[in-house]
Amino acid sequence: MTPNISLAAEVVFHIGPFAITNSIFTAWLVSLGLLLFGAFIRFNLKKMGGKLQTGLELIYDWLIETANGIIGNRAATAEVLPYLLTIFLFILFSNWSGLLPGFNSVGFHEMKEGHEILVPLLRAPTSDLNMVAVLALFSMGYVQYLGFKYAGFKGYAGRFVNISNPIGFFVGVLELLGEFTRIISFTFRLFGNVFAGEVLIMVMFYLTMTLLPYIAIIPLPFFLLEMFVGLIQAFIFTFLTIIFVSLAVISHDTEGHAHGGEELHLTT
Amino acid sequence: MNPETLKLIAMGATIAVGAIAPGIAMGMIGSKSVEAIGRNPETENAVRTAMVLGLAFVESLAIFSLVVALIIRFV
Repeated sequence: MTPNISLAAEVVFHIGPFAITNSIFTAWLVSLGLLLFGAFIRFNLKKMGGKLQTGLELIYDWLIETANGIIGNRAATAEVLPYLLTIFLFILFSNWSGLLPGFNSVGFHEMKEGHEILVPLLRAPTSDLNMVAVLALFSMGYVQYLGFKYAGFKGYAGRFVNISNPIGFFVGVLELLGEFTRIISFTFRLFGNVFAGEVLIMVMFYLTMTLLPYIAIIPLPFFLLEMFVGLIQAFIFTFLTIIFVSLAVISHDTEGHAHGGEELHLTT
Repeated sequence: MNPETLKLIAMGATIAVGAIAPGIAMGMIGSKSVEAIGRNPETENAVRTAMVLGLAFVESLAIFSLVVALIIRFV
């Protein structure tokens, strides 16, 4: 028995002409769970909430303060905050969903290239490159929209197209290139971490099964590591979006004394 | 040497070479953070946040080469 590691998500069933892969199926489940959770919290809101509501309020407060400290523009922060919370929760629970029992292991057998392989029914959405690429594209597209809205059309477009002098033109081209490399680094950072984590856990399982029978505790520390990595990666995706928004919404005339952003130029 | 062997060698070399620089960088981040906390223990929380962020950025470099290695192996 060898581990079946597939880089691409497998098709599990069809709805009409659309092929549904296991990762998009899981993404629906995660979204449904988050929607139900959100509705539950929404309809149980009280002025003096219980432990759950207080905890969520704490997270919300912390995020709004952090985002505002970096972006330095309260209107932009208020606009971007729902998006930040959405991607944070979605990525976090997508990452963690891959660690649940049944993921990557329950499925059906299929013949492919002569030998039988297991096609799992459930797979963490963020371990599919397409899903992560969509998240990255959406994040960067939203950043462009906010840039045009808050820095002004001329102010924002002037960063990329500057024909006043040759050096400015070259810098503009580099800036434009930077926007695309950000999408790529966004995508591969999240995908690589989650996918590598799944491969690591699978390899550990097979090592335990083949080398040391009946010592099933060996993969356990890796689960803890992957929980930590999943949290950190969700946090980093959100944090980088905040930083990119902060860089986009700084308009030219306030660039000198807008706080935040400048010391965080490490970005991509 | 058949292509399969070359593929395996390439996979091993990719992750082996790709992990050198991130390893050095992680060591630098860790040592400097410990130094900073040692000099100024009150800033431990702020330093830890910045350190984990920096480590994650560096780790993603190693992860890039890991992804390339996995692509070489499994595609």
